[in-house]
Amino acid sequence: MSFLGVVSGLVIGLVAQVLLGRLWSHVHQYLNPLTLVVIILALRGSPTAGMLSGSIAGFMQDAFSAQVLGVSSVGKTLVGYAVGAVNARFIVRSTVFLVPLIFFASAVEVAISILLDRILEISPVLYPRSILTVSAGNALAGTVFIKITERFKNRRNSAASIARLGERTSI
Amino acid sequence: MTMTLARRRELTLLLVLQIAHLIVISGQIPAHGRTTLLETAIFRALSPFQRAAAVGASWISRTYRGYVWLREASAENARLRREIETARLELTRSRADKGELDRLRQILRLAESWPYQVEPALVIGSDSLNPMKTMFINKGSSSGVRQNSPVVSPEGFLVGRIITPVAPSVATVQLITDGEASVGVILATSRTYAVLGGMGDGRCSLRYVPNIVEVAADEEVLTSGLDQIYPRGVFIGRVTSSGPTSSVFKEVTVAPAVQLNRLEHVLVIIGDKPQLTRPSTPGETEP
Repeated sequence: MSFLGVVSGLVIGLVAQVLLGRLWSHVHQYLNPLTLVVIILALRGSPTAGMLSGSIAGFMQDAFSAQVLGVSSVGKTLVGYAVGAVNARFIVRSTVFLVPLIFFASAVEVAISILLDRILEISPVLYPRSILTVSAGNALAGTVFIKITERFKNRRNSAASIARLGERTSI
Repeated sequence: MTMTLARRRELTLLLVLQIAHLIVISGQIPAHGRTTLLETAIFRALSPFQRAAAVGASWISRTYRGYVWLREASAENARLRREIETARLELTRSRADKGELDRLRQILRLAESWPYQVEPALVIGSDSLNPMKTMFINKGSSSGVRQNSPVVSPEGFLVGRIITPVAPSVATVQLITDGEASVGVILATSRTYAVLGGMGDGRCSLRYVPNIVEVAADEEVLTSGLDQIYPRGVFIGRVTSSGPTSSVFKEVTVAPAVQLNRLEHVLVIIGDKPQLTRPSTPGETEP
C-alpha cells in the first residue's frame, strides 16, 4: 500500500463522510466511511499502515465534527492495527469472514468512542444502539465495496494476462 | 511464543500513538470551552483540508443537483414535446374537420337551393394515368347514381358525368377535361351554342363556334341542356382564348371553373326535386 493510496483513501473517506452528512444528517448513525477506509487500508496493507491511517483518520474526523481532537483516533488506531494484524495472519478474502470482521472492527471503534465520550463527559454523538447500526452499515458497504473492487481487479488482471499470452503467441 | 521484532515495533508504535492521542485529548479537557493552543494549531493545520473537502463536497453536491435537474429538465422536455406533437396533430385534425365542415355546408346550401335532387359523394380516387380524365366516387347505384348522372362541384360548377360501370357503392365520373367528353354548351354573352370537349390537360375547347361569332375573352360558358344529359344553365368555366382558323369554326379554349384534380366532395344530380317532378305513378320508386 503506497503513501499516495493511503492519502487518497483517507481523502475519499472524508469527502464521502462530509457529503453523506450533508445529504442525510443521520448518516453517522448508520455508516462511518472513515472507519471503513481505515479497515480497508488495513486489509490491503500492514498493521502499521492500518494504525497510522486510523490515527490520521481519527484526527480528520474530529477536526471536521467539532469533537475533542483525538477521541476518534484512539478507536480507529486500535481497529486499524487489529484488522491489519488479523489480515497478516489470516488472509481475509471470503465474504463469510469479511462481514463479521468489518462488523466487529466497526463495533469496537464505535464502542471506544462512546466510552471515551462518557469518560470525558462530552455530549455524545453516538449512542449504544449506534454500535449495531454503524457496524451493520459498515459491514454491508465495506463488503460490497471490496467485492466490487476485487472483481474489477481480477478482470483487469485477466485482460492483462490474455494480452501477454497474445504477445507471446505472436512472437 | 516469542514476539518477532516487527510485531514488537508495531505494538510499540501502537502504544506510542495511543499515548499521544490521550495526551492530545487531555490537553484539551482542562481548557474545554476555551480554545487551546494545541486545538488552534491542529485546527489551523487541518483547515486547508477542511476547506478543500467542503469545496469538494459542495462541488459534488452541486454537480449531483445539476445532474438531477438536467434529468428532470430532459424528462419535462420530452413530455412537452409529446404534448406539442399531440396538440399539432389535434390542430391539423381540427383544421381538416373545419375544412370538411365548410365544404359540407357549401354542399348543403347548394343542395337546398338547387331544383335538383343531389347525392353528395366523396372522391375516393382518380385516374392513375391522367387525373384529368376520370375520378371515382363513393356512391353508386344503391344511392340512385346511374349512368350519365351529371356531377357538379360543391359550388355548383360542372365536373362531368357518371359513366359505366356503376357499382352499388362506387361510380366512375368522366371529367369534362377528358378528351372524349362532350358537353352541349352555350356562351353566356354571345348566346352561341357549341360543344365543349376536354383537351386532356386540364383545359377544354369549344367546337362548332362559327368564325363570324365574336367571342370575348373571359366569357362565361354554361351548359345548354341540348345534350339531354346535363341540366341547362350549369356554369362550366370561362373562355381563355379564341381565334379564327382556316375552317369555318373558331378555336376557343375554356378554363374550367373548378380545379378538377383537387376535388374532395362532389354532388351527383340524381333527379329533380320531388315537388318539381311529375307525380309518381304506381310501381315507380321514389328517387
